[in-house]
Amino acid sequence: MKSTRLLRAIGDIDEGYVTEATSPRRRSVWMAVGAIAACVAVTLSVVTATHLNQKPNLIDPSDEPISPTQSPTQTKPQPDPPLPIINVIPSTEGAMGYEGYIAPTFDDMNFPTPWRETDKIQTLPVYDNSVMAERYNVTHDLTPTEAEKQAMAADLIYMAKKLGIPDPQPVWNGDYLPCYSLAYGDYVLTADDTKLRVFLPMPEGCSLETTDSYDTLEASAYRILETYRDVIGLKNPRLAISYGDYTINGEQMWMNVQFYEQGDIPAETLRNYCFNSVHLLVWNDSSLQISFDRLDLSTVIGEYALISVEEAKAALLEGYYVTSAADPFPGLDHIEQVEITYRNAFWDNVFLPYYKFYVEEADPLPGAAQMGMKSYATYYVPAVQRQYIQGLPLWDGSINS
Amino acid sequence: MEDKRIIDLYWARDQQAIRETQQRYGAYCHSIAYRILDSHEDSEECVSDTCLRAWNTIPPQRPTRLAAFLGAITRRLALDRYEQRTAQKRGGAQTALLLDELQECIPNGENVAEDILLKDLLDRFLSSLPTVTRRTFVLRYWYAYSLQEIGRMQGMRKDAVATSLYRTREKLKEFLEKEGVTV
Repeated sequence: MKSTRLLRAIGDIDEGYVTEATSPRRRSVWMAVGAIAACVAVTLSVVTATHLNQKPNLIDPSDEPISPTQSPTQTKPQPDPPLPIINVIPSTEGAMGYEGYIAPTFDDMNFPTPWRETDKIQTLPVYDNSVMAERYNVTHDLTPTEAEKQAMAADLIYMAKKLGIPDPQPVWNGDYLPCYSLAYGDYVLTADDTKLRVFLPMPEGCSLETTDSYDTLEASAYRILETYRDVIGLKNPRLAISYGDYTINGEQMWMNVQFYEQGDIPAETLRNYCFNSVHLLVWNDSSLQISFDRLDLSTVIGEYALISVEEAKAALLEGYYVTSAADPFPGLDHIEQVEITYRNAFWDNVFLPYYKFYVEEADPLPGAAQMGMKSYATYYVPAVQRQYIQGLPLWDGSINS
Repeated sequence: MEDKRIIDLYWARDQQAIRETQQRYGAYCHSIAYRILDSHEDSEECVSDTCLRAWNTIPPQRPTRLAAFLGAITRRLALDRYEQRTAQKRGGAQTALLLDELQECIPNGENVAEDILLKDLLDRFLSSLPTVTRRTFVLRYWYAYSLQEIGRMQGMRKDAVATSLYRTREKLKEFLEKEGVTV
């Protein structure tokens, strides 16, 4: 039978696809775009680019730390006019994929967060991202404006100068991939709407392989920081390694290795962690990719008072939450960890703080139970008071119905 | 024990390699075989045979992804066993379903692709797919997961999984037709 032969042939496909399929995490589309952009950049010859001298929108050339006047908690809640209603528009394109984790126990994993309940953060800002969300979800045209292009180029030039690249001339890849790129010797740089990426030689003795141990990752991260401290550019860097999730192949992996700036106050540190982190990745099997967030936070909708953890738990019990899990919230005794974080995918129309609950699933993910493991899903409750929010895509049992 | 160390044990011809493989990947390989065979007894034998096959192939091979390497061996052994059982008219229902679905992908024609070319074509085809679509396809036709299970793993409705797979099968057929080969 011919289909038997095809079924057998599928068994010989590239092992990378086999591994990819069992990873329960979703990956950013932009990771792939940036990776391709880097390939493009390698082959570029130097061409003349538009002269650009606008101040970078991500990296301050003065290297000054964030001014206290820019700190989110320094912006006092304004009683008049009242805070606007936040209209959450569900993505039609990007927000697919199960966000969950597999492990023998929750303690086998590590989900670092600078947030502590005892910090008692009272308010956090909500940011508008409607321009980018509309491009991605509605018009499907990711072409940036001239001003955005100039900001991208300026960020890239700023980084190129840090690396000692003489007279950097970014090349615009607008026809296919909306990003600037630049190749010089061992270095490749790309900048798009959401990320600045720098591809560099991996320092000797460092490894960021997917199955490396926590200790190896930690040692490598600090070695990379030491080698590229100026590129990473943080005054008071803090390391965060998300680690320990298993694939259904039984491989334990790390999820994220990032540095972020310790702020003067907890709310500032949290904002730095969520929006201004420096991510370390292995690239092309052996090179290093250092990736900087460059989401646009220039439009603040308002500074909103936060609900408490207990109020968020009550919301969970009521069914007021967002999740990609297949089943409803199974109960408070299933909660393993809680933190405040922003949901900040570039396709979201607002960047809103949420309580994120890591919850053991009553019915483990297929594959997990067979491995003798448990699965943990995430449930999000807006940290902003409910009367300010409309349009939240609550769990309605539709997944897999 | 980490994969690198297990592979080192194989290369040192240390039988501890087999015990470590059983411990780390026994359940995983069993689940692959079970989805094809629907029999714990047969699946357990596939796992034992997988370890033996690994012992005989490492060295000279040095797998970069041990899980996928072992899984591929188990899958082949399970399909062998499935075919033997089908001849005895007691095959697994799930596998029969997969075969029916894949039959839709096969173009008419006389130019049958050789094994190496077929693998290359499948890799090229998969590389052209969006990640979610590719994962869905591989979960179904490599791992033999049910639509319901894939839905949970991908955060998709069951009918969306079925639609995605249907479209991918159509695309695969078109792709093979363009390449001028059949299976």
